[in-house]
Amino acid sequence: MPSALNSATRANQEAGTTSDAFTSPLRQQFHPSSTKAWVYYDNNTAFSASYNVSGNADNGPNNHTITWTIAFSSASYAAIACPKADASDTAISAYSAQISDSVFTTSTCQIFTTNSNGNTSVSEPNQTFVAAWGAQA
Amino acid sequence: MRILYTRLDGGLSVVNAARKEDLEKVLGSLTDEAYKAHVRERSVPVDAIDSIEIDDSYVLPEREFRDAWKQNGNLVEHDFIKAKDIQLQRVRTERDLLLVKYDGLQARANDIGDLVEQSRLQVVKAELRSATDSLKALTPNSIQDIKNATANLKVY
Repeated sequence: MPSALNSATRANQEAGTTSDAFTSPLRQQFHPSSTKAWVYYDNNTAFSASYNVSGNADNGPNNHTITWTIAFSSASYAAIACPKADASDTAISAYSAQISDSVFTTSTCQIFTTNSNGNTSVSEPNQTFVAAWGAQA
Repeated sequence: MRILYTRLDGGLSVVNAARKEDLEKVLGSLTDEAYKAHVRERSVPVDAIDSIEIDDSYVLPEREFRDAWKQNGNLVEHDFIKAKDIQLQRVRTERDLLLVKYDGLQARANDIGDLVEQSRLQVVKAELRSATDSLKALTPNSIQDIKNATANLKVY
């Protein structure tokens, strides 16, 4: 049986192949399957909650830039963004989100949200969720 | 913690920093200075203009004309000319959809030789074409000026 002495190192976690070591709260985040960063933000207010995210820049309607606290080791990581429906769920199928191609670096990720209702006034989801996976620097 | 800055394209960005306690889960204990320095280093681009921290209690303008926001020190104001252009574009978009609708109705009236309807539709389309006139002529001093000068297309 593994003892506390053979806790998994960061390298063990990143390789994900060792079966005779325990992971610790400090190291578990380095496993490839672990979510490396996540955030839940309102359009123009502070974060509701986050992990490994330093800031969220509101650049205008439906345009936000997320910065990671600990950067990824390359831009070959995965990120998803998902807008939340409005309070009455009437926009449940109207909002969508996309990750920018041009601003997707090891340390930043730009999110564009859209509303397919065709509204001519500003229409943004109240909240957006973002999460990312990959190897960190 | 929030930071305002003006981008090279003239737009305004507002950085909402993660909470200090959330950052400490990743970075360990931070002094207030280290926390602010980290957020600035990570979230404010090197080419940002006039970046300045604003108080969390500062209330930003409502977002209807978000692309017309501009920075005045540590305050956010509206560029009324930009706001007018935004509103003009909205009216044009809405008006164009209505013109397509009325073009269809007019074609039908023409087909069946309904002269009364043809005449009515000509008046409606003329009204729609002039829907931006008052807004175009406006020199706005407030968002309310822009709203007051905006034609109500809901009646069509």
